[in-house]
Amino acid sequence: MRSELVKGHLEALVLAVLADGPRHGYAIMESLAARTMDEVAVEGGTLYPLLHKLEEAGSVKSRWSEAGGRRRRIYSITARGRRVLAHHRKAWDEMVHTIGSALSSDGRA
Amino acid sequence: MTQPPTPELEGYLARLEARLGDAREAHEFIDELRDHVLTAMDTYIGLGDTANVAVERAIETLGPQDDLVRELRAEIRRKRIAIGAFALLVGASALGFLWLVILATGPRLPWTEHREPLVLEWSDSIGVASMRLAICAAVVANALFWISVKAGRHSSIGRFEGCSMTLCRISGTALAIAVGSILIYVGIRFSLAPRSLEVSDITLGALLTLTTTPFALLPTLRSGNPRARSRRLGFD
Repeated sequence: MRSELVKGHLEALVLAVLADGPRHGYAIMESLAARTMDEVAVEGGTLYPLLHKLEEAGSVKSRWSEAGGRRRRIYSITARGRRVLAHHRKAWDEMVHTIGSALSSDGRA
Repeated sequence: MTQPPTPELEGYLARLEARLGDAREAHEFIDELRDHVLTAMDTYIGLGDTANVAVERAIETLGPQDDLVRELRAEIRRKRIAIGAFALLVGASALGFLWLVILATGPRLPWTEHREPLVLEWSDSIGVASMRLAICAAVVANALFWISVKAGRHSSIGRFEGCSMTLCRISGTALAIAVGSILIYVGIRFSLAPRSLEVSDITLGALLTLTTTPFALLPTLRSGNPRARSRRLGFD
């Protein structure tokens, strides 16, 4: 899948993954790949700064835990993040409907 | 199964750390990336890879190091602007208020009927003007940073951040000038007319100023350039 198309929706994709439960960075990456049948492969250089931006904006929160003797940062979605996700879903539905209408052969959805 | 850190991984993280600088945020990123790579290694070894292949594949999941460093540096810079702008706003407001209270509520000046000595007038004016500038610049820096957070990934975000950083530097410089001017003002006034000041209040004010100002200025002073540091170490 074209990476620029995915990049524009990465925030929504990450929030959707976190809406299923708290996860650490690598688990988010794996969930994204699993949910998109390996079509979306996000690199750490993209994912971690995005997670930190989402945390800054109050859409996700993080806490440090201990796993296998090393520090692990776990991210979870906040109430604000769920509202942002709902907004993304609505916007996506509208866009699919609009673009679908425009692209259909008879000009209707 | 949890993999122990390998020399290859530790070397990779050490290079990354050198390029990011020694900010607390950089250490947190490194801890997070270490966990990421070790978790990915567990997965690849579980799929049948050798430890050497697994560590290479795990590091690849982070993407090219240059891209990673660029993104993480930008993130560290953002966090520093956020902390710096807030610290400057709180620091400048608190110090301005403290000195206003001390000087306004203390004993009356002995020269109220006449013109204030010129050197006092100047240091007072410079101190007040610098303090106002420091507070105003910090307010605008916070506002711009807040806009940049709310703006999300729009293309103008970098400009807001850049302006916010510049205003933090202006605010920090103005705060340093203000503190210097206030201390000069108090010192001169004390030498000219010791009884025009409550010594205990002034001592407390000076102590608070000298202990809190570095905290307000620290994020700006520490903004050091991680790029220059990594260049010195030969990583860039």
